[in-house]
Amino acid sequence: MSTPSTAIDVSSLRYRYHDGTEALRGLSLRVEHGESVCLAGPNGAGKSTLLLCLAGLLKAEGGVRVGSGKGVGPDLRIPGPAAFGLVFQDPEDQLFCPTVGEDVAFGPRNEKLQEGEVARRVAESLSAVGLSGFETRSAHHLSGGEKRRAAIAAVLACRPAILALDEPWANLDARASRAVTGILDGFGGTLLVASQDLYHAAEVCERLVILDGGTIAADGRVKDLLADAALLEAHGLEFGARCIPCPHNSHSFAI
Amino acid sequence: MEHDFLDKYSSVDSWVHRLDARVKAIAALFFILMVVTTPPQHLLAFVIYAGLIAWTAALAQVPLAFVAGRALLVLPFSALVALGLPFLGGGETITVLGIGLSVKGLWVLAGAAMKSLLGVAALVLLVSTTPFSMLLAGMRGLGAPALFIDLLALTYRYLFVLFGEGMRLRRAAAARGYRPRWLPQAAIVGRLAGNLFIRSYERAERVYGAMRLRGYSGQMPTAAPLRFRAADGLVLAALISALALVRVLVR
Repeated sequence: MSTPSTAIDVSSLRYRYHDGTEALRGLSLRVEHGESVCLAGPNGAGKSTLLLCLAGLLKAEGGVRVGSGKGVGPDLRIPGPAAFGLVFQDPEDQLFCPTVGEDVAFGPRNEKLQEGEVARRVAESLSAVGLSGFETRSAHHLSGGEKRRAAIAAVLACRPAILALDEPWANLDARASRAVTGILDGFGGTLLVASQDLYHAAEVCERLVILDGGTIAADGRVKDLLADAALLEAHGLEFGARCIPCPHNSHSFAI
Repeated sequence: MEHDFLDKYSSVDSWVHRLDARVKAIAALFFILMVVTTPPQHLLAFVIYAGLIAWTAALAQVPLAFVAGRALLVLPFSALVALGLPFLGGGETITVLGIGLSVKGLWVLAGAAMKSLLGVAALVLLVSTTPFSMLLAGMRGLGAPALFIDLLALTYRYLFVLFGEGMRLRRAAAARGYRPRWLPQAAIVGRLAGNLFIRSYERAERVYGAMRLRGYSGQMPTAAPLRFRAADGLVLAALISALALVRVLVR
């Protein structure tokens, strides 16, 4: 049963791409408000497809309800910027304005907020991701980590109740990864992170949902599932100590 | 090619940079209008126009060599149109190295060269003294169609992303031994272009998705309108009257 505290309610979701690939095969998932969920799973498990279906950008068969269930736009499938924010895997797709400031202001301006309020949101969002003062910079000149953070700021500026991110730690160095972890830690709403990087996801998520082959293979608390090495192995994931033989001497070290 | 190629000096802070984008756009257009309507025989007027460009560049801390270099890029294209005229034009002729050249044709050729150089120099200065987003805001303020502005904004943002993607494709082909020498090998280039097209199409879909998720419904939101200060009006009035005077009086 879905209650007012339910943020996301998905039942028997099916999605097939044009080439016939079945990305989602009857997936059901419920997320309550305030939860932090990691969607993990091997490549092609359907993580990104699920996020796009929740965002209303792909039309799937089955039930999808995000937030209050009210949609915006001509086809009423998109939950609306204040209900659901999605950070894409490639920040280049999300930063489409000539300057970072305009990009972050894009959402608030679409909500027809006063310019003063827009400026406040921009300053607040950029400060939340540690990019204060980047307003007039062109996205083209940012580093990979800065682009990722700017893309997150652009979504945060809409103050979404649910923040979803597709592989937020992909292609980032250690310092930029820590910055992203810090930003997600500071987010107060419902968090949905699609990632196969369990090392980072475990720091910000309490619940772990493992997807494989378009359905849910496991669903539980992060610390319980991460202890099950066989389960992780079976779904192309890994976590925990590994021994790496060091080529230069006879010692091995653990990570 | 770097992103800087377009507007390397646009973020410099100078007196010219701080002017209202609309003032600069109108001034540049008016300058071009005056230049193209000046008969090529009025050489002094062209010297003054060039001086004005140099003076503005100095005020804006944009190297004159940069402006001239960019303007020269266009010369082959514009002069090409008039290149045949000295040989075809009738009337009075002079003989250079045994070839009879039409004086009238020579003037037209010189005029085309001077006018295209000065016109492009004015546009280079405009782009070099105005951050691109301000330039777009200025054009919007002057009533340019919204769709055209959005198209320019997205082109500015993605031109070099696409260029980089194209270069990576080319490098990937080169890394696997592709050294085009004969015409049939050019087919690969076509395939690379097709690949780039599909990638761009997919990117456009994702960008559009990102826009819709942040509330886009067919119209780009606009920032606060630009403010027109007294100094802007003064500069514009002075420039326009000076240009008009040069155009009418100097022969």
